[in-house]
Amino acid sequence: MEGKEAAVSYDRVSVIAEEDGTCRFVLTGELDHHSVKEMREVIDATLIDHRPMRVVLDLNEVSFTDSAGLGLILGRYTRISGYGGTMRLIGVSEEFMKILRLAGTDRFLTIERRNGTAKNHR
Amino acid sequence: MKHKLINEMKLVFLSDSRNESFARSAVTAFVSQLDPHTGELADIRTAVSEAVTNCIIHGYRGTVGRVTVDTKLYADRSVRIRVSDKGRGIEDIEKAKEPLFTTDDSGERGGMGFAIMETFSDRMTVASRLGHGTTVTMYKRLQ
Repeated sequence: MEGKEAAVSYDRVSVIAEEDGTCRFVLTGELDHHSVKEMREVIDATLIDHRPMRVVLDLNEVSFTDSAGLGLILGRYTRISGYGGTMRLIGVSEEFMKILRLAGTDRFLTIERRNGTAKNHR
Repeated sequence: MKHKLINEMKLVFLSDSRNESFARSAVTAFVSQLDPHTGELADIRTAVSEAVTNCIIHGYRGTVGRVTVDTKLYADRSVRIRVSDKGRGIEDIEKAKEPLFTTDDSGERGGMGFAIMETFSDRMTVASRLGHGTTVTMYKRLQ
């Protein structure tokens, strides 16, 4: 994934390989049980093929998230941590922050709120 | 004291996951008649999504059945949302309500559905009978 920035777009996900080796997934629309399936498939295919060590999930374009979205995040966190990579969430809405806090995941995930406020930065 | 009912809306739809978005949008549009705050509406949208998703994933588990969402608006600005299915039912409601409890072992579901419904509403009740279905009722008083 090193080298020039490159992007591949799917219906609900864009995969951007940044110049510093970070892999950024830009998720779009609603994250519910119906929509997360395609997102999961695209993200996991990239993780399996490239094993990026730095992953960013960009939620700035996400309009709704319920516990299925939480499941998507936690599943990817487990997978990325499993091979020694790090994952950062950016563009987290106030509503989704409530769910992350309720699940206690704000204690171990690196989260940047939509207004740019850093939470739990490591 | 029973408050005066000012409006009611009932949705009945099949357990197709595309209807999760439809149901939460329809309920929030209806509740908007009470002019709720953005945060209140977001809470209702999420709680309805969780309840309807539970019917589809757990109640019917890939089979086709009907999901009913009955929404009532009262004069004291309270909302009652009742989401029900005629699916498998829940064996142990208290266990199902525990945060992080999930019957899914893929690591893709956090087991937070009931915790979210409980937190995002003022009060929630669950009635279920094995083989007959589940009804979740959520109450929220708007400011």
